[in-house]
Amino acid sequence: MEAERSESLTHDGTGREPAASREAFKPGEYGPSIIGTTVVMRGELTLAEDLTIEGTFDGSRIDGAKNLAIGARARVRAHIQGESADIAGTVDGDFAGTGTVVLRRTARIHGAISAERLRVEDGTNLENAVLCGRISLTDE
Amino acid sequence: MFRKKSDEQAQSMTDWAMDAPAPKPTAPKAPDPDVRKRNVSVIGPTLRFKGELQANEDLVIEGEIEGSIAHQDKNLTIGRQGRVNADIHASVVEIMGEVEGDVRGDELVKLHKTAVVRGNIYAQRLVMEDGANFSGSVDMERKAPLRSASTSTSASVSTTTKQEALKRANLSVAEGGSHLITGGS
Repeated sequence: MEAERSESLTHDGTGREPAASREAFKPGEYGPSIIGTTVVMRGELTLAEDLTIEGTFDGSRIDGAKNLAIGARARVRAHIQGESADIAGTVDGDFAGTGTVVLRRTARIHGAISAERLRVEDGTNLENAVLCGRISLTDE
Repeated sequence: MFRKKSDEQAQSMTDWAMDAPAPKPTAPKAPDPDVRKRNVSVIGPTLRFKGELQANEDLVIEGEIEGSIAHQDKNLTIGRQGRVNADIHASVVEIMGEVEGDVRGDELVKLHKTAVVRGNIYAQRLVMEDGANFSGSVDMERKAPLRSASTSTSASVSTTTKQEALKRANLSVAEGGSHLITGGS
């Protein structure tokens, strides 16, 4: 599961280095989009690439994320359209995807998640969530 | 002193060339794939964002941003493909792309040769490379630096960034050292 996750996050076909070896920071050489832990964004976002959110996004919508990763400390309030997602943080809004959505144990969902396939980690709290798609439970 | 390991690591990650080294060298840890080496946020080339953006970490913009960018004492880089239609405030602002709006750099504003800036620049230090395109006014009025008061005494006219960084590094190493001693006793 973990290997698959990292693969899905770096799968952009450009042969970029994995994040861990990006030690020397040179402008012009960086990986996919990352919204870091201290970043707060209010507004609307459109994109056509992978996106990692570890901070706060409080807005109306996020459109076009290919592989969206929402970190455990992230808080996202938006309606999201995209392909796949790996959610470990808080999402307040709906997600409509065409790929696979992985819900981690730490995820908090307030809204509807629809995708082709959904993988839900054992122990995930789905109190306020609506899930649409083929659901499988995982134990990782 | 007894911060959690992760905090300490995060702190050391945020330091970059301009900042002082951490007072206590942290032992090298096994690389964790989930922890980014540097606290750098990236707005990629296909990203378009409308709204307000706040951050307290280094930020690289290669996409399009419309609205406002408010940074704390960190570095902001607008990459070659970056297009920003917003007022910008950060400690160090490096521009290689297009900016329409006022640029406020508490420490330094640097326009690379590919930069196109339409707006006013407020900065203590300004670097403009040959070829940079700029229309607007520049205000270099000196204000109290953003960082701690101790640096203001040493922040006399310094010719290069490196010198200033070195100076600051010495200063805070000395402070860190005394802190270590008092902490240890």
